[in-house]
Order: sequence, then C-alpha cells, then structure tokens
Amino acid sequence: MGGMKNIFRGFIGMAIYLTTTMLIPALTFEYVDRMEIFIPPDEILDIEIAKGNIAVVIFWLVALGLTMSGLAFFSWSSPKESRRKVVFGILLVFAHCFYLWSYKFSGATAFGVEIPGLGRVIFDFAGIVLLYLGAYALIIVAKIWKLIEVEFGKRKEKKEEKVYIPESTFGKDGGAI
Amino acid sequence: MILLQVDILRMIADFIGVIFLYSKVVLTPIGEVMKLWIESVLNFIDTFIPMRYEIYIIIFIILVVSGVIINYHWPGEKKEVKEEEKKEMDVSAKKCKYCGKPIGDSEFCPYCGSRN
Repeated sequence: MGGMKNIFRGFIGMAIYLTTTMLIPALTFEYVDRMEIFIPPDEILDIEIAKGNIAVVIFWLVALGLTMSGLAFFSWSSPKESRRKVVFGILLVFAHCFYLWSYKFSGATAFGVEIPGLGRVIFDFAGIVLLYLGAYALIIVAKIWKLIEVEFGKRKEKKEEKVYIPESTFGKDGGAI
Repeated sequence: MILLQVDILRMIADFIGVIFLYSKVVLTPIGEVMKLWIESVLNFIDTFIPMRYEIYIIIFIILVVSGVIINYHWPGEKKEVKEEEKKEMDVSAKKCKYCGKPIGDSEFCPYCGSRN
C-alpha cells in the first residue's frame, strides 16, 4: 500500500516538473518566436531570441526537462528520511543548474527587440542566471548536510537495534547460558 | 508598468529587488564558480553526445521504471513489532542497577550477582 502511495507521489512530482520545466517554457519560446506585434500604421515589432536559433533552446529545454522530471519522479517517490531521496534530491539540484545554464548556453537569456523608428533594445538576463546558480550552490551544500544527517540517523537506529538481546540468552534462573 | 501602479505589487517588486540586490554580492561570485564546471560539462555533452531526443527519453524512462520498481519493493515502511516481541524487548532492555549489563526478567544479575 505504501509503495503505491509513494509512486503516486512520484507521478505528481513528475507532472509538476514536466509542466514547469518543459511544457510552459518550450511553448512560451515557441509562441514568442512566432509572435508578431503590429504597430500602426504598418510596422511589426520584431522580438529575436537566441539569435533566431530557437530550435537549440527548445532542444535543451526538452532534454534537460525530461532528465529533471525523471529525477523528480525518483526523488518524490522515495520514502521520507531515506538516503535515496536525499541523493536524488542532490542530483535534481545539479540538473537544475544545468537546466538554468542551458538558457545562457543556448543564448536564450539575451533577446533583442527591434522598435521601428527608435532602434534596438537588448535584454540580457545572464546576471540573474549567475545569481540563481549561486543560490543553487548553497542548496547543494544544504542537501549534503541533510545527507550526513540522514546517515547519522540511520547509524543511530542500527545501534539501537543492536542493544536488543533476546530473553533466550539467559537461563531460567537468570544465569547466562 | 500598469501592474506596478497596484501598491501591493509594487511593494512585492521592491522587496524582491532588495533581496536580489543584497544577495548579489554573495551569490554572484559563487555562481561564477559554478558556471566554470557547468559550462565545461555542457560543452562536453554538446561535443560528444549527439543532439538527439532519444537519449534523453531513454534516460527519463530508465529513471521512471527504476523508481517504480525500487520504491514499490522497498517503500521504506518500518516492520511492525509484534506484541510478544515488544514485551520481550522490554524485558531484555532491563539492565542491572550496579554493573549495567542486561539481566532479562531475573531478579539477580547473572554477571555481578547483585539483587535488582
């Protein structure tokens, strides 16, 4: 029963990750790439992402989004306070780092807007990506600390189990056999 | 711009801005270090692993299937201790007042002979 509950939880985690890391960003990029904003009388506002190479951005989004969703499934479906949950949690944070950097890697953090009659405006979000990567580094440290905590908890549990000595160790009068 | 005319949204935006501004000093240098290894790994993947969706779909399937198998067979539930075993455990946990060794349910310690 507990196993099925765990798996159900895993599927929920996977669905959340598939939606937030893959579907929504990929569809947004696809939409923004095709989007045409008409400026009266007959001009078009052109938004250029990743220097027109949107396929590369979407490839990395889908590739790393799939990997992250798989890791999220494993992590969410693992029992609480277990080693595998923490280990896959750490792997998930590493995947998050790759995912975030893939935006910069594929050129999606910078996009230009051509405003007719005014010129070109370029937005660059690479600084925010670096900020997030720093935050992820701290999360990795916290997760490693959690792993150590879980490991110590498990050892303590094992030690407590070892204290148990069955009654049969002693004779009827209480003397050792 | 229209959204920022709502007071609460502007407050939230200011608050987030302050967090970003102050954490930038600490987090951006750490991010720079992270960037080094991430970029090299991504470059490696880009050079040696072909850009094909199949590879990532296989990784996804492996992770999900192994997750289902492992977490179904080892759900992490602790075994329920039977009442008798529990009783036995309580008895065996009784220790000698003098030497601290386990004495079971006997009145006398089998090791030091003292009465408990």
